[in-house]
Amino acid sequence: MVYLLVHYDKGKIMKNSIAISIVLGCAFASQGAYAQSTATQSVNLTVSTVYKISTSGNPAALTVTTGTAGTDALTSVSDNSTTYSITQNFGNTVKITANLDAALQTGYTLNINLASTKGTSAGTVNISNATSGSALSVVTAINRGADASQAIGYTFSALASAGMLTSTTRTVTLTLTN
Amino acid sequence: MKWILKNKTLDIVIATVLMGMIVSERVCSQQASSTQVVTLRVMELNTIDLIGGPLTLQINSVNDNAGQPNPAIDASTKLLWTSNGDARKIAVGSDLASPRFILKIAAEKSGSGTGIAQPEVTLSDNSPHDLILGVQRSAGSCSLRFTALATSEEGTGSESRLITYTITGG
Amino acid sequence: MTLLNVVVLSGTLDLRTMIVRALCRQNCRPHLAILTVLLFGLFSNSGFCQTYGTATNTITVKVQAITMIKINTSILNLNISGSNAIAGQDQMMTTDQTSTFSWGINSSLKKVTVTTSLAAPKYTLQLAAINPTVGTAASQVTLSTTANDLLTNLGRSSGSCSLLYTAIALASQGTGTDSHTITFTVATQ
Repeated sequence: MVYLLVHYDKGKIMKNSIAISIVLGCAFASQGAYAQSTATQSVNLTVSTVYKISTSGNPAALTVTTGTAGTDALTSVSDNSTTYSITQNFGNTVKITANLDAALQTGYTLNINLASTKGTSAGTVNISNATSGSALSVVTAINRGADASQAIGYTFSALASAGMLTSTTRTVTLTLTN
Repeated sequence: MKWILKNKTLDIVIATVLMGMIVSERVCSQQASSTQVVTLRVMELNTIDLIGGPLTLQINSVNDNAGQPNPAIDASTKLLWTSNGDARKIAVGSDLASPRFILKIAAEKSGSGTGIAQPEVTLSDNSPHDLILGVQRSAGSCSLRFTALATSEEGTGSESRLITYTITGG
Repeated sequence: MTLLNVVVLSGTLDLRTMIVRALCRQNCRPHLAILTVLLFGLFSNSGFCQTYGTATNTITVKVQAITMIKINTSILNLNISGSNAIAGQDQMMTTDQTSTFSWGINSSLKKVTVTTSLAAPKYTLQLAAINPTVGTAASQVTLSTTANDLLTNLGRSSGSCSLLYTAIALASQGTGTDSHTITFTVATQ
């Protein structure tokens, strides 16, 4: 809708110049307020604490089959086929702990070894008796950032005096924490 | 006024709950975990070994009183074993069905491990004889005492036999 | 048909009288006559029964340059958390495309540039215009205090687009907050 404002000058009917201003006000009408040639927007970016850890799967079955005559300790077996990756932005006191869902019987030993380029590996750690309430540190002083595809080594050993062990599973939990 | 006081108490309770949720949320977010399933197994294992090479028992002296050759004895050989099974035994046997000269064997001075040494065994045929009984879930060792006997009537000669030691169920 | 409302602010008595006389015969009712004139006489090409005179005037229309831009969200909060991270990767990212940018421009060939008020941000914030109804979206820009093109080839038009914000942080940078004031400016291309 266009509004035509006509200012009629008295006394000059026949010949008159009328200036008309047309204001386009409706084309962009809206309920909100419009900026002119600039507009601003506040954008707040917050980065929260991040802890992420993943593993590449389960290791192959660890089966003891051989030993040395006269020696109680049977020949241990190892698996180095799995890896772990981490990302954390908290600080340099972050560590990785490991524990089992249930302790092993006496005479059986499960060791774990985590490599690390961001922290200090504890080397080979015996987690046979480390349950959820007594997790053991396997990597300490991890710097902020990411560490990808680091090797996880498992070594399983048994004593002859412990007897045979039918196939049994344990869940190993690796926890990234501070 | 009562309503105001009650409302204040409710506010405190709500605030406490919210604070607890915030704190617990913060604590929960301070770690992350990943799990692996490890499968463990120990198969039955029985292993036996000897320390000591081929043995020659030389009968070369005579008992002056009896007029018979003195026996030749050797106890330098050691027998080692490891077993994680239950109720095992170690048997010994010779490959000679009809030996000319007498050879006896006995396990003695058991170093370690379970097992009960049996009386001296005469290897007079090629059948197995119990040497040690009651072997279970252990690693053990013992000395083997060999005794070779011959009579004057049997004359002179040389006889070799292959001695085999076996862990079996028992 | 465009409805043309003519509002007579002032005029000579002669003109009104002329209109009335043109319509009235007897029992002249000026107000009714005037209303009638307003409703019909000035729109009708058929004119009056008898022409007593004519008048002409020159009308000049002037349209000024008008530029209007608008963002539907004044405050936007972006958060990077564990859900945006992948174990083993230092880079973490989140995106937001909830903001809409709209404009109305009646002068030729303009562009829209963007700047941020934050001279030294800890993290990276990128912006891109998505699916503009008119014009050309520039490549995704990393926001800085230097103006970068967001939209180009905006002629006389009214249009809109989505704003895609991409926030990137490295885990090695730690936690924190960057507060930006993003300024959108229409400039001559």
